[in-house]
Amino acid sequence: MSPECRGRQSRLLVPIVVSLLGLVGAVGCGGDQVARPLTGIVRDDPLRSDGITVTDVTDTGAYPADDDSFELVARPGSLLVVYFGYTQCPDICPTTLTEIRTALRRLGDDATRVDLAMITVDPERDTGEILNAYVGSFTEQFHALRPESDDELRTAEAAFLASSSVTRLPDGTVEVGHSVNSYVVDENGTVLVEWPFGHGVDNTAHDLEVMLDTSAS
Amino acid sequence: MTARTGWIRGAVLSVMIALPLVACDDDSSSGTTMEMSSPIEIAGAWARSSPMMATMGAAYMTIMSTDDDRLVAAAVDSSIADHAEVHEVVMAGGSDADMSMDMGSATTMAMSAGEMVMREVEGIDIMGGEMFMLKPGGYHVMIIDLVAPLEIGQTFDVTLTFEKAGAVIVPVEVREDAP
Repeated sequence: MSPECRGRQSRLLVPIVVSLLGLVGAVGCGGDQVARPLTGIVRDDPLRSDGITVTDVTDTGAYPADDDSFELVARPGSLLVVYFGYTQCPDICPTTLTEIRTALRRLGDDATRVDLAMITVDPERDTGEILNAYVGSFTEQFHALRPESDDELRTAEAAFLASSSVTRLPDGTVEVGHSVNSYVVDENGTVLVEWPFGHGVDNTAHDLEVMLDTSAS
Repeated sequence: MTARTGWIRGAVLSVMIALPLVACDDDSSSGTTMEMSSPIEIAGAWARSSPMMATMGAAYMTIMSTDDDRLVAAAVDSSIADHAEVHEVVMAGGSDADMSMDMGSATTMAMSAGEMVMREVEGIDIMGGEMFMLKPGGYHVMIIDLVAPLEIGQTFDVTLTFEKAGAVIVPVEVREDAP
């Protein structure tokens, strides 16, 4: 073999070795090192929602309903998006949930590894039937969660540093205030990222892709 | 010669630009088109399609007015919903934001703290010559007690009432997301 030929071979080997190193690095990363940073809020000391349960009124043939109560953790190898809202919310809630739905569509088959749990902050008006139909409009893989007591709602909110208030005004209207972030929880109940209102489809899809890659490796 | 032509062209252009502005102030002016007769112009009006069982909707748009004016009311036909109101989303106070977290931006921090609540507003001041946006998370026309879900592709009218310009009928397109 001529020196020239050997030279070509080494030039060819370099990219292969680099590619292999990259592959090894990616596999070796595990869950600790995410090469691509998340666009949402990542806390130094993550919030946790394992052990927190909310009454589950999910009733759909497409997705198996769990027990009467649902622990706010993802299925193994999956992610759980948690959102506090109410169905008579015309602006903030549908805007956020539509962003999540559009981001899930972009994921293609990987979307089967993402569930959505909506916890109503207005359980008095959001009956199980209403909540089911509403959350089911955004994804087939959902949990319609309707706290049965104020304590149940406050405990769930506290885990996420979320809050809400329902005020009945003298004219009969109901004013609902609620924190507007959505949260992504892994199978251990660790809140991996929080998305503020208006986070955007691109950012939401990006974060889900990164977290799904990480949880798969 | 060339310089003079340029000057004349500039002067003619200036007059052409100034004319519609003057015409807008005078509704009786015969040479104006329909658009020019109203100082109000609405662009990009849309409403989000309803999730199932939703009883409330919201319409968004950009409002432009050549004069200072004030949006004081919104209405929809009873075939669409019981009624409509102009609403604003505001911070309701209370903050649990953890400052140790890695924040994306100042905007992110402001939005992540506290609760947001939606309130009816008595009116919105529209500054002449400026665009005012009704958009998700801000001002919107709230459509209350929908008769039927808003379906993608559907169009319905929202009537906005301005203090000076009076009633303006706005065709609103129902979409999944902003245009």
